[in-house]
Amino acid sequence: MEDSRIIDLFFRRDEAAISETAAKYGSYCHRLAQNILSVEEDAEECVNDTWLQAWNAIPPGRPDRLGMWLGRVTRNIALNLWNKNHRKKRCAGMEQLLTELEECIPSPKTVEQNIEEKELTEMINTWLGTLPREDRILFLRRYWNGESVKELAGELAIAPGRLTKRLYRLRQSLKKRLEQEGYWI
Amino acid sequence: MSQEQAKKLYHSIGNVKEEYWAEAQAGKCEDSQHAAELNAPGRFTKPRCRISAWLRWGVPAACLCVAVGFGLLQNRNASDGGSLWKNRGNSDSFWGDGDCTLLAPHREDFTPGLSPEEEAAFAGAPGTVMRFYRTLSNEWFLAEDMTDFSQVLTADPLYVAHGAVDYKKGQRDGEFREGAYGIYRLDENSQPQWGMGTSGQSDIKLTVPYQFCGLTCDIIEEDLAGVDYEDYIITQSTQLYTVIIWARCPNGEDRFVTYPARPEFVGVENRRLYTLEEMLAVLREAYHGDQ
Repeated sequence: MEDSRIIDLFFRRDEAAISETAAKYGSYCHRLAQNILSVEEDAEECVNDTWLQAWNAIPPGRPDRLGMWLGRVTRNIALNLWNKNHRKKRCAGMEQLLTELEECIPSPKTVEQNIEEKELTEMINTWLGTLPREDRILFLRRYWNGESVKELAGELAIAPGRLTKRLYRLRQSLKKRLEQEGYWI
Repeated sequence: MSQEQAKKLYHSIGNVKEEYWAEAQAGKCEDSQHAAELNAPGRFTKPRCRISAWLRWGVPAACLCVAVGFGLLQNRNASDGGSLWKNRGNSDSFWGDGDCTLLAPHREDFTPGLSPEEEAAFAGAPGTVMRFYRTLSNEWFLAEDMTDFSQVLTADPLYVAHGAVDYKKGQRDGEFREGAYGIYRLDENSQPQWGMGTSGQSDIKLTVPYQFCGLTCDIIEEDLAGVDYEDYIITQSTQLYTVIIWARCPNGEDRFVTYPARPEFVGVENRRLYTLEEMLAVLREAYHGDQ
């Protein structure tokens, strides 16, 4: 079913909206949650909360792109759940993602001002725009979708070590960009 | 604090332009198709004639390079009055804080054995091929600020191919001999490229391997017999002229096996199994024993 028709179902308060959303985006949202939380039960809970939040937010909201909107909601709920149940062994996926992202953070000695989240997003957008398409996709699949290095390497048919190095260079590139702009996260 | 910043970054990444997000989701499908094509039967099968070509040209080139390098090493050793091993390495931070678990997130990179891609690339090699990683900047010690595998070791693996042509008195004799080998890397097209290599002396290779000379997977696994290890990586410290096998064990009780070229200088025993603490003690002695 097309997104616009699913959103219309939400607007009519038709519960079929949930089943149609789950049918179309259920596996996608579940995979996002699983990548972050690493635990099946938590991922399931997270996805159910996503449907609830969609039910409460639409209407009045009308997402331009339902899939991305649901993905963001899932990520935020998963991150909140991760904060709540912060136990390394249960949440290895998010732990690893954050550890990698810490490498993008400039040293306070090299930056001049704190940066707002919106501004940071704009800067990331600009930086992503400078990347070759393959690198941009790789970065977002790792840090938006949370897909594991092993999974990505398998799909791309390259050695995990080579992919790790490529991701490392991308993180260093983002860090350099933030430093050049003189921002502190 | 830095984790909070990472979360902020993570949130911001979640709000990037829709077109980029859509591109990544679409790219996933494209990549899967691309991977399926790449993994189609025969895709990585290397024609035998090409294998012969890289063995014919790559191995002698590697041997020649190493012969030159070996000569330079000997000169350097003599000019240093035998003190080649002194005052090298990161003297203030052996292993940083000693936390070898920092490598844990990258365990998947350390799985022994070759991937199908690698096996296909070296399908024509006459003997065993081993994959190994070299330390960055020729340092084996972990820097104190190390947070990533790629800061510790070169992420691109190198490959030791045994049974390549021997190098003898400056001329290739054309025969395949056990014990001679070359070291290669894979290029962007997964084709073996000559990286570096050496040819050891036959009289020492059985007891004291010169770097990789004579070392095989069978020897390593024989030395690890009785150790409950999950996987291991092969590293080469050019500072210590030692091959070090780092066996990852449950509960952090990792073990190390060393294959030094010159054990009398560094105090590292050949084919000796070390615990982390013992390894640290040996390294401290090797670097600071005379201070």
